[in-house]
Order: sequence, then C-alpha cells, then structure tokens
Amino acid sequence: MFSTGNSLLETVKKQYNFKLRLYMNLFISLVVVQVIAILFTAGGTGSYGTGTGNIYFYEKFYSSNIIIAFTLLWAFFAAVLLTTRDYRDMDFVFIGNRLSSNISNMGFLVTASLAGGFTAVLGGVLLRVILYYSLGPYNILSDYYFVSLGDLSRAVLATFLYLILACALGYFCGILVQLSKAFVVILPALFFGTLITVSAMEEAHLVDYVFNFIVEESSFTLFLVKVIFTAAILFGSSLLLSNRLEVRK
Amino acid sequence: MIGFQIINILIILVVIGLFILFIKHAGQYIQTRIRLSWLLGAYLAVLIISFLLLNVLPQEEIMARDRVGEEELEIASRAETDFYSALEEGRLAQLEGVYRLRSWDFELEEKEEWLLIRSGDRDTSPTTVIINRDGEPGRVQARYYVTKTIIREVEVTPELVPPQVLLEGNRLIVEAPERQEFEVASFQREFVLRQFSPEESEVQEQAQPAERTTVTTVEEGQRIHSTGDISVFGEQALYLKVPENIQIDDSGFSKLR
Repeated sequence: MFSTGNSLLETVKKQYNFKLRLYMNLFISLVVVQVIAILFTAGGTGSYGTGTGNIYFYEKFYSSNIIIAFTLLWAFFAAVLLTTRDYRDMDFVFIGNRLSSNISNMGFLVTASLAGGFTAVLGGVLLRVILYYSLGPYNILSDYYFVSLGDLSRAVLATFLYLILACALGYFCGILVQLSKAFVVILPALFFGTLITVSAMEEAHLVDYVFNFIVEESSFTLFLVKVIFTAAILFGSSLLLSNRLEVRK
Repeated sequence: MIGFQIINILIILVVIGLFILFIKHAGQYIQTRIRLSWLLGAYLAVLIISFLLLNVLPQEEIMARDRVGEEELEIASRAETDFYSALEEGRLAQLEGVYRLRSWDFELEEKEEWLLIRSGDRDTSPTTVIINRDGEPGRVQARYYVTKTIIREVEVTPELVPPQVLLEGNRLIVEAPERQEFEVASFQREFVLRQFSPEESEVQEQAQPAERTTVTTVEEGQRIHSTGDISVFGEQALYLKVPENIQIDDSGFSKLR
C-alpha cells in the first residue's frame, strides 16, 4: 500500500501536518463559536431576586459552562465533517490508505481538542475581565472570580478530555453515516427519542448510567482512564467500520 | 405536549443544521479578507492577555462587597430579633449589629402644642416610628436605626438609604426612601472543575436558588451553611424623642409603635 521508504508513521505525520494547515477554517469556526458563546454568557446564565419592603436584591450568575458546551458541540460537528466526502477526498493528495487517513484525522482532532479546551477555558477568563470593566468591580462577588494557574490547568485538561470524547463520538457517528445514509435519520431519531423517553421517566435509566459513567466521576484519574477507554472504543470502532467503507466504495 | 416536543426538535435540528453549515464554511468567507493565522493569533493573544490581566486586577476592589461569614450572619440575626425590645428599653448601644444611619434635630416653636406625624407621598413601604416621650422641651430628635441587612450573605447595610424627615410648622413628615435595588454578579465554577470536588458541587447546587422560593432568616443557634441563600433582612426604625407636654397626632401614619 505504501510507496517505498514511506512508513505508516511518516505518512500519518505528513497527512497530519497537511491537515493542520488545510483545516484551519475549522479553527476559525471555533473562534466564532466561542465568541458567540461569550456574548451569550455575558448576559448571565441565570439570576435570582429577592426583597422585602423597598429593598430588592438581584443576583446574576455567570459561568463559562456555555462556552465549554458550545465548544463541545463544535468538536462533535467538526469530527463529523472530517468523515464527509469533501474532507476525505483531500487525503488523496498524499499517498496513503484509509488507516493513515483515519489516524491523521484522529491526530488532528486531538490537537483541535487541545486548542478547544485551552481557548474555551480562557474564554471564561476573558468573560471575567469583560465583566470587570462592564459591571465594575464593586458589583462582582469574588466567589470563583479569580482563576489560579492550577485551576486553569485542571480545567483545560478536563475540557480537553471532554472534547476528545465529543470528537470520538462525532467521528463515530460520521463514519456510521458514511456507511449508510440511513443513519442520517436513525441517529437523530435515536438521540431525540432517548431524550424524550428519559425525560418522561422518573427512575434511573440506562442512559443515566452511561452518562454518569463519565459526568459523575469525581476522581480525575478514573475520569482520565474512562475517557481514554471510551474514546479508544469509539475511535477503534470508527477505524474498523471505515475499513468496511473502503471495501464498499 | 407531543406537538410541542416536535416543534422543539425541529428547532434544534434547524439550529444544528445551521451550526454544521457554519462550521463547514466559516473559514472560506473570512479567508478572502484576512489571513486566518493572524485572526487565530489575535484571538489567542486576547485570551492570554485576559488571563494575565485577571491576575493583576485589584483584588481588594472585587472583594469590597463580598459574602459575609457565619459570625456576621449570627450577629445580624440576633440584632434583628432583639432590635425593638432593645430600642424600647434603651439598650441599643449594647446590641451589636445596630447602626444609626442618620439623625435629625428640630426646634419646635413655643406656641406649638401638637406634633402631627405624617407620611410623605411615597407610602409604599412606610417607615416604622417609635416615640419616646422623654424629649427635651421644645426639641424633637429623630434617629434612624437599622440592623445589619444581609441578603444572600451579602451585606448591604452601609448602602441603605434612610427616610427623609422634615419639620414643617408642627408637621413632622417622614418620607420613606425610594425602592432600593442592589445588583451583584457572581461566578459559578465550571462543571469541568466542579465534577472533581463533590462537596463544592453540593454547596453550589444549593446556592442555585432557581427552585427555592423562601428566604431563610437565621435563627439564634441555628447552624448556617455557606449556601448563598441565607438572608437577614434586618429591621429599620425611626426613633423619635418628643417632649412630654406635646400632643401627638399620628392619624394617617400607619406604622407607629
């Protein structure tokens, strides 16, 4: 499959570097998505008011959760896009095979997740600075306002891991859709159907257990292991399914 | 119900479709105008600068109005409970957590035999008035006292506006202050960090008052948890010292003790 002297690793490396430059438009969309999220969040994510007599107290909550959530969505759809024909065709600039293409895609997605994690968390910091100047320091409570370097690193790492998961899931869904267009209908139907069913049920559901497997994990080490394990399964399955795709087309 | 859910799903699908289109084509439009790498570099630079800036912002300014501790809440709660009895028994000075926001001294004309106490135009929340008949002859002294007012653990006492008190002839007019609004912004920890500190997560969940309707007033001896939903609204009263020989008419003034 590979030309003389070209190992899989070298091909992957070349494809990866090529994709980093070629897919820069994805990073631009990341910036725009995050800027939109920051603007949304600048209005507050919730509020609470209470009062008595002629005294009224109004507390507005802010958080960078929306910025992270938007980045997760971006990661998911960016991964889906990489599996589409337009993006796959770009791989043929280099001599390689489906395996090298997939691995370089995954490498790109890991890099994109790192960039997304870093910028999403720093987006929350930017929001704090914007609010300092727009609301004035006196109206801001210091709870969780300041971000230490340690907290920043932990948040970037955790967001990065979540983004890898979103990418792995997106890539898997994308490959499924490439395998059969029926999944364009099946996957959203499955997603929304599950959402409706779960919201109607009061008891714990299988989806809860799957969701809590990652989200409720309070040990960072275990979380890391779980994310790597889940992402490996999703990426591994994508690789296997992708080979079937090669046979078919 | 199902129709509503279908509409929701359709909206979400449209948003997702737009999202995908946007991600796919975002760069193409921008590419024609400016170099993508410059744009990315500029964004990154802004983010990094904001982190550096956040760490050099004056912390004291942000901490000037902050949540108070358990001790302050207990003082406020005790002051609120004992306020009127202390006021009537003349032991306000011994009660911690009571502040005199403003005082007025008026001279009564010698001929006056009556003092008419009236509320002003704004009577949405009339001021509580307590009258002491031990005043000096020919003088009316007014003192506006408040106890610590702590809302959602944020003390606002220094910012409370006293009523306006003025003497026009023999009419003492007490005008309640306008509705006062306090606005604060608070940050919540990102879920990616909260997940790894379960105790903090519980506290923050309680601090989210979306489903809470009542405001707790701390009772003496009650343990106060730092959940952000504890409020001691405090008491306010106008204390009047009026000479014994003056008749008082308070008709039309609803809040008189």
